[in-house]
Amino acid sequence: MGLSTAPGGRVLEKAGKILLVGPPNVGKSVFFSRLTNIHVISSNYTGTTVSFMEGIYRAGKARYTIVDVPGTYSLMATSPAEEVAVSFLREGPDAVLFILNAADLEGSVKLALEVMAYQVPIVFALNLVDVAERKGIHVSHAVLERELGAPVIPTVAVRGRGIDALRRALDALLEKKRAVTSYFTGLEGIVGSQSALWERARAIAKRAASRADRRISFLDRLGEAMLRPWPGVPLALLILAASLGIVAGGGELLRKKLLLPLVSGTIVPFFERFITSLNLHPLLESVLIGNYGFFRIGFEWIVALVMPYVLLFQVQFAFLEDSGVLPRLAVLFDGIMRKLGVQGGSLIQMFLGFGCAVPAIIATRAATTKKERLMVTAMICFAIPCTSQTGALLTLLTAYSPWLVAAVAGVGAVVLICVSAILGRAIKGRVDPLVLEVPNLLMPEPRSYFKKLLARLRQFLAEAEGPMLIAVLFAAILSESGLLERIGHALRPVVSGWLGLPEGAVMSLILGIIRREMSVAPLMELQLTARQMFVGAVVSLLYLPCVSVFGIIAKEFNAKTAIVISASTTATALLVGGALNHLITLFERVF
Amino acid sequence: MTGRDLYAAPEGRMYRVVRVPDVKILRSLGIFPGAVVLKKKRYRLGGPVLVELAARQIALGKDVARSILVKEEA
Repeated sequence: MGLSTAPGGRVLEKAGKILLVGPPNVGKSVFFSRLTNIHVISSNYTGTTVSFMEGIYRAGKARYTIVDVPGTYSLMATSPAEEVAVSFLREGPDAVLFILNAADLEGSVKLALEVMAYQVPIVFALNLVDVAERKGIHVSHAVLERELGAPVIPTVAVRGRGIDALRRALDALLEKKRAVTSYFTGLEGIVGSQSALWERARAIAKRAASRADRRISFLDRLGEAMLRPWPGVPLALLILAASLGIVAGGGELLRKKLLLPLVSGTIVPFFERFITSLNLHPLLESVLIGNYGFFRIGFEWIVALVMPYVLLFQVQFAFLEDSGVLPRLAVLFDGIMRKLGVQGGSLIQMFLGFGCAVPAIIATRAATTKKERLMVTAMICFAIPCTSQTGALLTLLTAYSPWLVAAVAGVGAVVLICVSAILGRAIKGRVDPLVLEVPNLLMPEPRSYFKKLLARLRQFLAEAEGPMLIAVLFAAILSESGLLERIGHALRPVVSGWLGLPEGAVMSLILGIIRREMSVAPLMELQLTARQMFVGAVVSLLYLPCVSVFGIIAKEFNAKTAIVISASTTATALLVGGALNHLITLFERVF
Repeated sequence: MTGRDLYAAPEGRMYRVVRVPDVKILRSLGIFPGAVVLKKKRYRLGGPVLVELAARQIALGKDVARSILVKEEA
């Protein structure tokens, strides 16, 4: 899910390349983080939407670029990721480090055979030997070495076991720089046929692996239990509730106990004293530090309102992602998602959308059809609030009553169902059913977990900081110059007449364009009634996607799609918000 | 009739795959004519089918499971 895009293809021209290849869920990223230094970048392969990570590997004095090739199940070049993997192999790398899965030898050997057909210098890591042992599978790396004709190093990468031996084997391979004739003969006849490759892989796996009965470990039992509706569904709901609790509760705690006192007790007063001491023009002074001044709301909104939620969302999501929990949710809820016209895998992207719609929309690249991609993207834009917006909404609504949260969530769910029903009929094409390998449940490895977390947060700051600062500056100028009052007056029929909100709420609608969560922040400054809070929250939830989301839709699809989605979300927000306002007002009058 | 579809086949038994639809990822995952799978579970309410083959667990959506033909393995 790399977001930053380096000039495509650049990595291919660099000399000295090592490819890290393996099937999905084999722990490739753990090898990557163990073998490279801290400076890793995420790039897009030229002309594709496939992103990969690259980093530097030191072998003695020589430096090589390690490329973490996207994990695939085969090299038939039928998906963009497979095409990229094939292109990398065709470029003639200095070495290939192939990660075998000891717990699924057959599957990973099958892919290894496809890689070896490219006649590349290769060394194997036999990873997850601990997972295999706990399942009672013993793999002889000596037999495997003989069968594959290349070095095989047993590893448990998450604990760093075997990494040194692997480095030595890799360095030896790089030093020899021998021209590879063929490690493995007789592949020519079978490379084109997946079933022939599977047969050969099965034969190799059979010779190298032996099984013994083992008591099933706790993690495996938990992994199995999470796949059964009982107790899987309650567990899944518990996990979702816990992650919401961590983000919302933890965010609130961070905000109230740490950030808000810090911001309003120390940072803002400091700027207040500093700016007033400069004796600036009164207008400039109020733009900088007035009630809506840049330095006041900048810190209050960005540091105290947005950051804690973003941080905690990433903390829990990266954990769920690395542990193998998410595919289980996809399996359990595939039936429901199918009724919504998509499939279980889309759930993961929508969950990611609760963090931020931008990476979620990028993640929809995994969809196999255009219709699925478009549907999931639209569903995220309409009814999935991003993390800082969720935090802001919760802060706003729980101040009045938790029931308001449930009511707003209910409205969001109804809109989501309607959107999926309409799009399912309106968009031509089909959505492919779920086909998903369920990985073993794993305890995430701290090192690669933190590396990933750091990269994600850096990415968020790089992408969101600019728009957020612009939103704050915009807000400061609009309100402190009196312009807001005039716009509010002009939009009075909509904001006050139709939505029943105070004029000041117009700030919400304007700022929401720049950053989604910024549409909630101004509502907190107003003294709203319960009805106004509810309507304001619904409008903010359904309101148009922010500039960054607009940009990513335009980039990933086209400008027309971005405009259509923005226009329809805005229309829906105003329509639903206004209708609810009038309904509730009517209700209040009658009773 | 050489077999029945994987979606309708009873749970908890081994099946030999007879025919698969033209979905590339199925072959990449090892589901092709001749492969032997254990049908572990079918999820209710239009949910997927969970199969096990070798050491892999694979979830197959209802629509794809319905188009995979299998024969019970003795």
